[in-house]
Amino acid sequence: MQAEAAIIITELSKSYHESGLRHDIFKELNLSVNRGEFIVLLGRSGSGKSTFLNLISGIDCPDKGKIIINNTNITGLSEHDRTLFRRHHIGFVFQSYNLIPTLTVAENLLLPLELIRRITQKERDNVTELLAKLNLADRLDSYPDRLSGGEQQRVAIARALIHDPDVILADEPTGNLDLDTGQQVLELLDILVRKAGKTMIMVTHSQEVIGKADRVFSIKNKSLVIS
Amino acid sequence: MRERKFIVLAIVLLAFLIIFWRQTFTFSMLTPPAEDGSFGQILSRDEEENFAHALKPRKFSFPADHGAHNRYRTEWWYFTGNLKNPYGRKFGYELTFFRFALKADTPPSKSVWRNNQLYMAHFTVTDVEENHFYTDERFSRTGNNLAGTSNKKYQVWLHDWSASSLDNSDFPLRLQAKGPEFAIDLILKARKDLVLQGEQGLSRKSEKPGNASYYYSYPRLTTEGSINIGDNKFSVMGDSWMDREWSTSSLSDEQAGWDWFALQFADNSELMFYRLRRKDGQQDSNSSGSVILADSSKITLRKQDVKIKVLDTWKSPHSHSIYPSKWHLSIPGQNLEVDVIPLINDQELNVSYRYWEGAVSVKGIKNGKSISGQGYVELTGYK
Amino acid sequence: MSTILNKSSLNFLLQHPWQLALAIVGIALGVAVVISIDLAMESSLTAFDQAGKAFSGTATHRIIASEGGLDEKLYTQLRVGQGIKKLSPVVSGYVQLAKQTNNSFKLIGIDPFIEKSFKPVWQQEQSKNQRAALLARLVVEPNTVLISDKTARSLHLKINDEFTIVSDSGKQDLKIIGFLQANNAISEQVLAKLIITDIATAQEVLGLFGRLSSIEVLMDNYEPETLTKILKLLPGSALFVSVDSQSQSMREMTRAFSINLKALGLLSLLVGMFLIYNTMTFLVMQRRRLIGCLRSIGITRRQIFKLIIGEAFLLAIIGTLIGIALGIALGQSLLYMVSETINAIYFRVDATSLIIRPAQIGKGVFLGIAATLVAVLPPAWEATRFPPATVLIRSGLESSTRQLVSGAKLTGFILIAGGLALALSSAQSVSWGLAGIFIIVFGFALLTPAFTLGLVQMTDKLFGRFLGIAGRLPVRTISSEISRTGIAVAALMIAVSATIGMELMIGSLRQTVTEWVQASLAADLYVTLPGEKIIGGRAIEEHQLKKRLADLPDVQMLSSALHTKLIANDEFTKVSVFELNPQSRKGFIFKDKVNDDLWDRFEQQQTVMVTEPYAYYHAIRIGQEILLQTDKGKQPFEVIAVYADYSGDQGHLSMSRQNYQRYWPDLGYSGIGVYARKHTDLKQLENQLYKLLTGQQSVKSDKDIYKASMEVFEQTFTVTETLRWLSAAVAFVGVLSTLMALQFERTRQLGILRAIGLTRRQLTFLVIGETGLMGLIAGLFAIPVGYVVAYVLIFVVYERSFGWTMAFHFDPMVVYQGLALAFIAAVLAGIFPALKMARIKPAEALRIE
Repeated sequence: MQAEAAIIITELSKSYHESGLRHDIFKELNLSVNRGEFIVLLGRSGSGKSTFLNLISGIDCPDKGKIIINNTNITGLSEHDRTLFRRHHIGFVFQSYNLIPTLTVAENLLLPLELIRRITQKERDNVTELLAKLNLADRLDSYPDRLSGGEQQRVAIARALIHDPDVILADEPTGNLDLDTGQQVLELLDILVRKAGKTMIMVTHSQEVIGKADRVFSIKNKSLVIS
Repeated sequence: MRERKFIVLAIVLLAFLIIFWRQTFTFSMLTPPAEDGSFGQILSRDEEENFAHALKPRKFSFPADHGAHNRYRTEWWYFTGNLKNPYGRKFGYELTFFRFALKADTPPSKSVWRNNQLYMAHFTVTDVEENHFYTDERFSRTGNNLAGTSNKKYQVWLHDWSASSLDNSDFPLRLQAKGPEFAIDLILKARKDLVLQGEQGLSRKSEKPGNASYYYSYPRLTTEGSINIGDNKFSVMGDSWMDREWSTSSLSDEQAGWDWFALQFADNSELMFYRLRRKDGQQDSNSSGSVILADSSKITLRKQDVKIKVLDTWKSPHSHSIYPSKWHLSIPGQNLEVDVIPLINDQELNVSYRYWEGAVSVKGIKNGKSISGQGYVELTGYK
Repeated sequence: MSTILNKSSLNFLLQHPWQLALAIVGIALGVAVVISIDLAMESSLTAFDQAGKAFSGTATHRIIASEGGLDEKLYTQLRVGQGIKKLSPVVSGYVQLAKQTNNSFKLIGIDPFIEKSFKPVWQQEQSKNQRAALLARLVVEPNTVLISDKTARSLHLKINDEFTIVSDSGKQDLKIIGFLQANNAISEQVLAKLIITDIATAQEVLGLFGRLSSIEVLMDNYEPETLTKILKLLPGSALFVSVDSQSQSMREMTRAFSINLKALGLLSLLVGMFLIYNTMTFLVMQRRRLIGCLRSIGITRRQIFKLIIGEAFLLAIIGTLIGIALGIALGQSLLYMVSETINAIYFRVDATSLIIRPAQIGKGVFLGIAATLVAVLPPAWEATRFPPATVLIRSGLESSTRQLVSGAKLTGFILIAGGLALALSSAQSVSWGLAGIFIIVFGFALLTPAFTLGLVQMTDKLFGRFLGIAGRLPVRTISSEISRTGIAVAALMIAVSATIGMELMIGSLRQTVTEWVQASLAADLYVTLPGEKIIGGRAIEEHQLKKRLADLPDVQMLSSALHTKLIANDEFTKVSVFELNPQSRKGFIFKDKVNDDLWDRFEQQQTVMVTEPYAYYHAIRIGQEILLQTDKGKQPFEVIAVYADYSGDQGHLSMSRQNYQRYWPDLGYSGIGVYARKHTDLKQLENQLYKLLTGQQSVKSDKDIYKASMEVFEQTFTVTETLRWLSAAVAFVGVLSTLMALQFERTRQLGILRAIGLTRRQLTFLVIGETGLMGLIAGLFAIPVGYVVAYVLIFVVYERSFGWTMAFHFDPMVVYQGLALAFIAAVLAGIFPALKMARIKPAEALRIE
């Protein structure tokens, strides 16, 4: 594990327009995240936490500035290349799980893999194994809407990790869950992400998570401030 | 808010429909039928020189001359008469056939319809007791035997209206005509022989040579037959008058119209006189006529021989024209002083050519003795 | 109604402009097709009616005759002899412009001096003096005519200009001396195709000396005397008919044709209704949360219902208005096709442009609005069922949908059975037969969701592994969104099955007609002798021509035909008068077994053969007698055979020339078949024949005639063809609209896929894959449905409409084409939403709940 930077953000600016007026979300924001580092992001609703995650994942584009992940400047990539980059290097966990309702649990997990390469039997076995680890062995062929929230979020975390990405982005993963279930999910993330040495940026309000973070930031005045 | 929008929409929709309606449904709102065209207008403006003209007296030959003379522009067969039923109920009638040549020549064709002779007929009955005047009018081209004449015998017809000799020459002659609610069926016999009017049948109408017609009359025709009015049939008897005239041009431009008198007196004499009126109100010097004595001898009358005084006028409620409605005629040369009075005032024909033609009664003094009579008067060109 | 509530509704609608636009297009297209058919059909018939009115004015009755017309002496007898006053003689015929031979006019010769109470259009000239002068000129100057100012303008002609026309008798210069004044839009259309002239000129130009085409009669009220007089003088070849009954029987004649066309119009509207239903359902589902909120703050169910219905009403009005405008435009082009068809199989109509009547427009408005409101009732009702303020889960809705699907399946089966029963038991009624088809198709449409579900689930099972997970996505979407996709598939299925069904039917008919035409064409060469058949000159010339043909050394034998009309049951009946030879006798395809003595009886005895449509319409069987009117009273003719004929749907009789000449006047020939000796050079013979011909007469080979016949056949179906494509267009819009709605609802899901790493292109393929699959399903299902439709059309509707029986001819190409049509339409419809979805930024997609 080296202390080199996994993510370098320089002079990042983002704004949106509404009724002809420009509202800045970030202005010349800088951040460097080390490989394996666990960052927690705090902030009021609408302060731009989700936008920040979207920018890092390449789902959204900044107005100005650079985002370099694993030595790749994703702001310089085309939309297509950004998608391919995301496919390989980013894992996403959403507050509302966002599983594909028309695919079974197993299929949901295999989809990211399939996008990268032909699925091998070994990978199928891995999925089964992983689900077993998550205590979901019996839900392999269930559709997401038959699962409880905690179960769905566990599947979502599995999906974010299945293709072995470098960076995990989690947007309030426990936001829709009760305390106990949230606890389980966080533990899972801790085990699967931190132990595997992956870089993670998480938006959360959970005090417990904040305690486990390497660094905690909050968005204030269009920039990141260490809390 | 919403209601208002709906109202606006409804109005737009309505307007849309109305536009279509207007565009498409005018068919049912056809303009009312225009009055029939004045056939005076269609009398062709074909050059006069293409027609024959009445320039000098001719030798008449019958029955051929009872038939049409297509080389002349106009021609007519004019029957008028005063009739009574056995109870003394008085009727007047007029049945006239006109022929107009639309063009002097007809091009040759295999189609029988190709013919430039147009016939018109007027039919009236005056019901004196009911104070009612019935009129009807017919038109037809000659083609396909729809109208015409014979030169073998006296025969002229337009559709089902006809004057036709019962034997193979002239009289007795049968008149048949049927209007929408009135009809006649009469047998006419000549009590007096034919009279050649004017100068041996050449009747001058103005100074210009050729402005004349060939004109002959049967001044007294004993008449017997029936008149139908509505569902009633009346057996009638009386006297008729027939005029035959053809010409190419008769009136000159300065002439406004004429007053024509055909009177039959109780003493078996007759009087025919036409007064040509000029546009300046004067009497035209070509006005003329004749007196036919009981023995059929004829005395020609010139303009100066006859004095006519209008005693009364009548305004037509139909055309608002003002017609004279009572006259005093004096013919000093004949010792004749008579008043001529229409049997009824309204005997105006409002057909394609408007004129007044009516039965009249005559009362006055001849040679110091009172005399009565009957007849027909025709008034044209009144406004 | 609350203004704010309405505003929320309006804002919502405006946020979905595409959905709105497509719904409006759906209504508009449906209404447009219905209106255009109605207008085109009515316009051609009205043109026919009104053309009569233009010259006969207020005439109430008409004396008409078959080929050869009336003797003009009849007119004189009635007018002079009987004193019948309100009569108008007419001589008419068709002439072409010498410069534009495809531009034909009806030349009508009238007598300007008829009773003015007829009030024909030509008497409505500006001032009465001008009118009288014009009419006098018509009489006096040969070859002078009146035409409409519109026509004059289009031909660049002025008053006193001359133009050359061609008639049966040759070329003739006509001089325009005045214009016919149209006083409204309808008469303007009608007058545009008329040339009014004097009766003498008409006889000269058309060569109809001594003949009248008709005598128009005006009877004020009931006039028994007039009637008696006319009937007493009426010759055996003439009919006294009322103008109303004539126009009535003309409408009667085209009724089956008209119903078939209108059914196609309703098909479009039906497909349009699916579209409206779909759109409104989408707009309701999109708002389930909003409606829930509204309900929780105290808006009643009734208000919600009104709101939805109000929205639909608004859409209906806009869509209907656009539909009317579109329908008028469309109607104009349909009019040409419709009149061509009517010309080909019924009677001559000269429709130039559309006559728009409020009745038709009103019908369109009513149908458009009613269809929309009916289609919107289910979603409106559904909207009122949303519980207050509840977030509903899609899958919950879908599981109730699955119940609906099985319910629909059951209903579908019942409808199909009922529709089949109705079609088969509908006796002579074309309308019920078509209604049966509608019910059957609707029943199948109800089966579509079940069929679709079954098929996608099977696909998933069988090919899931092969497709991969991404490939499985479209399959899954179709089944999970079955309430939506099912309807799109059903709409497409209806359009495609109609296409397949009609194509199969037309193919079968084409095959049957081809065989029939080929069998009928026994001679080597045909001499056609066009023009009005008249007694005298022309007939004599035709006899001379025939003799000259027979004398040619290369000619082995001849056959001849005269097509005329005789009166049976107080109606004109088409009759073909034949002189046959052993060769031409083989051209008859009999519907029943015939005896060997058939031809002897045909020639020797008082017999006729009837065509299949004639037998069908008049319910005539072999052995029965038909009474034909002759100058010697009614004569019985025994029916000895029924034979196939597809030249029209009214049917006709055929009799031997010998039989004909016993009772009716010689009218010459319509055509002469020439049979060459063996080894004759036909090309050379054709030239020899050609030299003997004059005027409009022509010689054609059997191939020429075959080609011309088939051209007429194809032309007859151009209307059908066009209408079919129109309903396919509506279906296309329906699929497009459904897919847009579907993709719109899945925006968030697509955003997730993009977040996971699906590229834009992959997403595009995903969406198009989905729609293509739907198209394929629709196409597959349309095959059996189309087959059933074809079956009912062939064996029920067409046999009843036209009295034609035909053999089912299966063309596999039709099936492939149908399948391809469905697939391509669906793929095309998928492209737009696919591109739209791919363009949406995933960040925004994810924000959508």
